[in-house]
Amino acid sequence: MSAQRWFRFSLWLYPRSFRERYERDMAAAFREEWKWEGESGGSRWRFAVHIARDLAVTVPRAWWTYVIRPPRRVGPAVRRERQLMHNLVKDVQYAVRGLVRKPGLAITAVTALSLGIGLTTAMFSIVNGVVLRGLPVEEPQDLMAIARTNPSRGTNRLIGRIHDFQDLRERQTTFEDLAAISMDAVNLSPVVGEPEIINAARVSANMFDLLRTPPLLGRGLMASDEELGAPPVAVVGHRFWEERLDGDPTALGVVLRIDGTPTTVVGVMPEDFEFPVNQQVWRPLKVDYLATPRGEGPGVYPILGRLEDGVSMAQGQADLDRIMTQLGQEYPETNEGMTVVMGPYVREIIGYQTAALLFTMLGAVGLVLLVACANVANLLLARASLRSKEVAVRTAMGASRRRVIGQMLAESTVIAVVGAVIGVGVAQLGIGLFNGFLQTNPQALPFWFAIGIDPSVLMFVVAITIGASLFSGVLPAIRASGTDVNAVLKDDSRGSSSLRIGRLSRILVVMEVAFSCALLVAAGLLVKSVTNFSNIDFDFATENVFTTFVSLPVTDYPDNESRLRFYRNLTERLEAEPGVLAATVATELPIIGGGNGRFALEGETYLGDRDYPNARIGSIASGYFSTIIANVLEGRDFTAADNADGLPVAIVNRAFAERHYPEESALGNRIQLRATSQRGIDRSRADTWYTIVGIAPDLYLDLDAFVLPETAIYIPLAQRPASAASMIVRTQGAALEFTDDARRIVSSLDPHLPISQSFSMGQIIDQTQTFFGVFGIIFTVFGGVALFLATVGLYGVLSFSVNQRTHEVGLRVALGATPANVVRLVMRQGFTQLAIGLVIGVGMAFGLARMLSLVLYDVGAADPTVFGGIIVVLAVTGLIASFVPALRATRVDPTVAMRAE
Amino acid sequence: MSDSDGAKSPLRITPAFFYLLLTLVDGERHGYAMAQEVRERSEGGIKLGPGSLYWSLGRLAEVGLIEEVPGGSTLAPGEERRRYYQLTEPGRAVLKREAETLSKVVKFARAKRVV
Repeated sequence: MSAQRWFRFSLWLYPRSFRERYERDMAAAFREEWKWEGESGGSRWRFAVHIARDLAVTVPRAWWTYVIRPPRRVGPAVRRERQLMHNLVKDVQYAVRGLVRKPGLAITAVTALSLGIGLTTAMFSIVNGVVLRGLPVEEPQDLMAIARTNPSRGTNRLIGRIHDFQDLRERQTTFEDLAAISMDAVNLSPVVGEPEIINAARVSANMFDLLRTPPLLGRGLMASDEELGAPPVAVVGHRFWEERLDGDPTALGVVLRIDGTPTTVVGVMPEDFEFPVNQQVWRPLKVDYLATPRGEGPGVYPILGRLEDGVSMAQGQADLDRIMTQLGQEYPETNEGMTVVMGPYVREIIGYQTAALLFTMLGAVGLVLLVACANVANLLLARASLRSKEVAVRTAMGASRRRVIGQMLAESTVIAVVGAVIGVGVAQLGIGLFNGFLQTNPQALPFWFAIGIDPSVLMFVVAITIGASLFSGVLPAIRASGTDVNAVLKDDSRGSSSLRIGRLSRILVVMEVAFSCALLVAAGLLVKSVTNFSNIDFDFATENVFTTFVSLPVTDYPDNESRLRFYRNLTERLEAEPGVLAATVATELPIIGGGNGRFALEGETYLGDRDYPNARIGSIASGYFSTIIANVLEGRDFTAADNADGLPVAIVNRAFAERHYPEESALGNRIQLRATSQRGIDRSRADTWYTIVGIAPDLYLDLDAFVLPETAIYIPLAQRPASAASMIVRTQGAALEFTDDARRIVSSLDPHLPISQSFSMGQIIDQTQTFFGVFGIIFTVFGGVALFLATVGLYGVLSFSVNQRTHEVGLRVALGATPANVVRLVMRQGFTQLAIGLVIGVGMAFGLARMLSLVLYDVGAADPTVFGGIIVVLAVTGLIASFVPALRATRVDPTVAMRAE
Repeated sequence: MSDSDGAKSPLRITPAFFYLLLTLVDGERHGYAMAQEVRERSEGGIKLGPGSLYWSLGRLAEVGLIEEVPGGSTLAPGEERRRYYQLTEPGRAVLKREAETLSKVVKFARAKRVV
């Protein structure tokens, strides 16, 4: 909802006479003030606080001056409002008094709602901070990320091509402008201190304008910076400026050595600006369009676009589609079948699946809130039925139905408001824990992630509090107010009304059981998935393995010869180091991999680019498998003879062999890597056929699909040299203690070369586990809370009904019913609710599990042990919850029961 | 409206009221324009939110220090219809007296070198 709408909505808090008089003027004032704050760069937060304070001060004042102590003669409208207010105050007083008198009910109800509201708020804050709020720039809702795609491959995003960008930019008619972004990481070697790798981007010069974010110091990039002969310049981020330039305002003009090129700093961006994701250095994207063949040149991802005012996303997409169709006709060899997709920037960048997962979790926590509300509704229903006589008397004496409903609602509102206040505390706790988890790797986070309680979260709290008080109050209120006055007053036993209330509360219990079942199954699946993941028996060394990354700038390492020489020297130096058992260099790491690409099997024909199969492709030096203690299963390992002049060879993993050569041995077959898989690799070898000489174990985990194993191809580094690679070192001692030695060795070979992403193999595994573990923990909390609430609910309803039926039970016992009969009588009711709830719950669980399959590892969405286990847990808990009241029913003394009334 | 005796203000003149009255000295204004001028003149010291603004204007009108311009006022093209206000005679009198009192206070403060 827009700020204006929120404000208009809040005007309903004012008395009618005031509102009707000034509503329009106030809305206009708000609109202009909002605009003015935006233009003068004021913080929206502070403005929201200002408005909230204004409301808090003037709403009571307006009620005082317009209703309670009105200027002069009051009309009927004011009199009505005065009555309304009087009633409201009375209802709230009455509700508070009632709740204080029954602290048991109040505490249970408030606990339930504060848990429900707290968890929902915490989850909403996460969704809000990650997806909903968007980028912290002006009018972020108009910012789109555009990526190249091939429709037949679904949602996959491809790196865009610079010529397509140029044509899109020139021909589009629906955007203010487009900007190209090409993310990279650069080597930075300062005059003093260690060289370092920094996240950077090459961007078109208009990007800062498009984001409406001017630099804090100096200037942004200009079109003239993009010219080929222009001196190299860079704009740097605030953190970079503080950490590496000492926050010196005169740092403009400093020359940094970036990837070996002396580059002048011309601007510093404001704090918390790290567009597109977590970048700290921006350089102009220089392209010689004429000399670069179409389809080559720097890869672009994403293209940033700002929709013009009043242009919808569909119109923007249609505009881009039109141009891509034209390009497909003009350049069939590069553009046939290619389209672009665009979407709101944040959602495109974090991925629709992640966004969908977050919304699934928000939906799931909504179920917890519903369970909590159902609980409160049940408590209030029970009480309403006890009070049915009182209500009937009041109705008979002239209380209107609305008054009775109002009174009941006041009760649920008081509970919800207290619950919300505590709930915000609960949420704050949850947010703290979640942020703590995020902080384990803060530099990798997208810069707009800011999870906390902000005005929109507070608005959300207000909305769900209203929802919760209605949901838990309306049913009891309507039931209570709809009581047949005559029936209740005539019949002095607990009559028909309580039976009807009983059915409603049974339905609520069924719902609670169903929702908890769904949540617990989800939690169970995730916990099992995390357990599976942490118990993977990796086919390689995970202890005492150190990894780090180097990137060789093209200025210092122009050809394969120089790169290979560096890698060879590096390996030799590493192996000579005391404490090193083995060392190697590769473009990929076990588990997280490196790159992937398309390839062809010899003898197969493929129609289009998209028909070629895909696999992880890594270049490895000859000691790779022995360094990580993995044995080649069949055939042979690479040797020193597999060099640039030797026969081109490949090793594939077991998954590859089983997928592509199910009938025969993969050994001896030949594969060819597609040219598009060779980015940054020597193109002269693009049509080489590699003969498969060995089969390796599966070392990968595809983190996108979260499936093991994935198919992989290894090529000798000497036959497919790369400009960046990981070092893998197996050490005698703790792996991370080797970090300093690694840095020293690299800098002894090249003082300008930084190392980055230094991890032990154990850390790499841990990071992946933590990520998925968090989902498990969150769902376990959801499920646990829901289970707790459902158990309390079932127990409450049954014990209430036992109380209600004391008379009946007494009669039965008097007529000869045994304790076993009584237990059966009570438990049959509980059992039926439980069974229906479980059936519905299992159905819901299937749906929820399907949505979660993205983060399930080696667990089917219909895993029988998890489903079975949860059903048993719920059944046992439910039966205990109904057995206790049943047992109490057997102790009914018929003489007492019959006399009671 | 202006049945109060004029010599005495029927309402304690707070700084916000005083500023609002001052903005009307040059002629009629609409509410938001008044709030803007108050913010500028008070150098951000008094920021009237929409609620405070219209509650204050309501109070001032109620006691007869200002009044709504009947039938709105000249509208700039494309501008929404809104309420315009002008000072009443009693309003002007109260404003003058308040200003005189304040200027005496300021003179005293200057003499004591407080400002």
